[in-house]
Amino acid sequence: MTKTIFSTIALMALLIFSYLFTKKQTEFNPFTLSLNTSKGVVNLNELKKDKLTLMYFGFLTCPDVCPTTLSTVGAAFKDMTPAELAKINFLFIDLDPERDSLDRLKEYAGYFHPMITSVSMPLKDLDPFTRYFGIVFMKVPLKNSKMGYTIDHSTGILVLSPEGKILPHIEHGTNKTVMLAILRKLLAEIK
Amino acid sequence: MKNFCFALLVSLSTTSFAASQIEIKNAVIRLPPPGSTTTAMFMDIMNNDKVERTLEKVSGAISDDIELHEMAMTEGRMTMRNVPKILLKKGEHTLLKPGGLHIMIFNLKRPLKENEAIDMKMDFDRQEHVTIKAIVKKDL
Repeated sequence: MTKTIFSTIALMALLIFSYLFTKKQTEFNPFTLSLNTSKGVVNLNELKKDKLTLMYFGFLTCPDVCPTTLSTVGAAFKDMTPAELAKINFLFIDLDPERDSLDRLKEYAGYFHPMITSVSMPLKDLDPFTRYFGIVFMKVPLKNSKMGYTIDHSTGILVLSPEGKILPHIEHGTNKTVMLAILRKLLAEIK
Repeated sequence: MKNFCFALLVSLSTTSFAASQIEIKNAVIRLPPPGSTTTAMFMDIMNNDKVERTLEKVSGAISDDIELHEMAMTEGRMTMRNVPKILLKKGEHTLLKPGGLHIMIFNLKRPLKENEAIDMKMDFDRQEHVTIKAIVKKDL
């Protein structure tokens, strides 16, 4: 009798333990992930406190879309006050860790605006990270191109509230004036 | 005579270049950020010919890797692909512009300077070619 009870408890313990163990392994939390950035190691939980967090996903050999977006963002930031900028995080998250180093990302992003923080993470984290936020990216081999491959990717700027809620993204092609209006409206909502 | 006058007029203008019936205007190269060796060239190509023509190759001293690329938004995702040639419809402008067709320049051999004029050789079908000057611009 005691043997049965004992083995049942042992089995239950095993099941509970294995459930908790696998749950921990399969649950990916982008907010607690340590991010390697051009400004040191941070995590989103800390970063997002009392601020609007904007995230743009791109790569260095993107000739057109990424420079266009970052250029608009940089121009918008130049028109904002220090008080406004103090309430914003802007992360440029690299989708091509194979080719892009954090040093080069830092130099690239810094050209558009010092506030733009570059982030480099390995593919194993990039996949669940982008999936969580609904961002799509894909490495695509290019035949007959010296580039070898390119990265197809979502082009909108992701917006997170201080609580970590995903707000409507800022679409690619938004000009500086409209972007400023959107950012100011969002900032007013988080006060 | 009309063609001669046209060619003469075109050759006198500094921002326009022509090879018989193909006229190229407003060729610009985006100034890449420091540390980046990739950029793109955009322009307006007018095909005054009575038949469809094609742009087949672009070359220049600033890079050994210059290719023709097109971009498209597919399901919210930007995609970029190299293409073997760019079709120039007869009697129409073909615009190479951000978000669309462009001439991709990568592995730049040297940094570019804003407002610099860069020589580029454009090869069309029928073995026609023209050398143009593209202006490096910071904002397009």
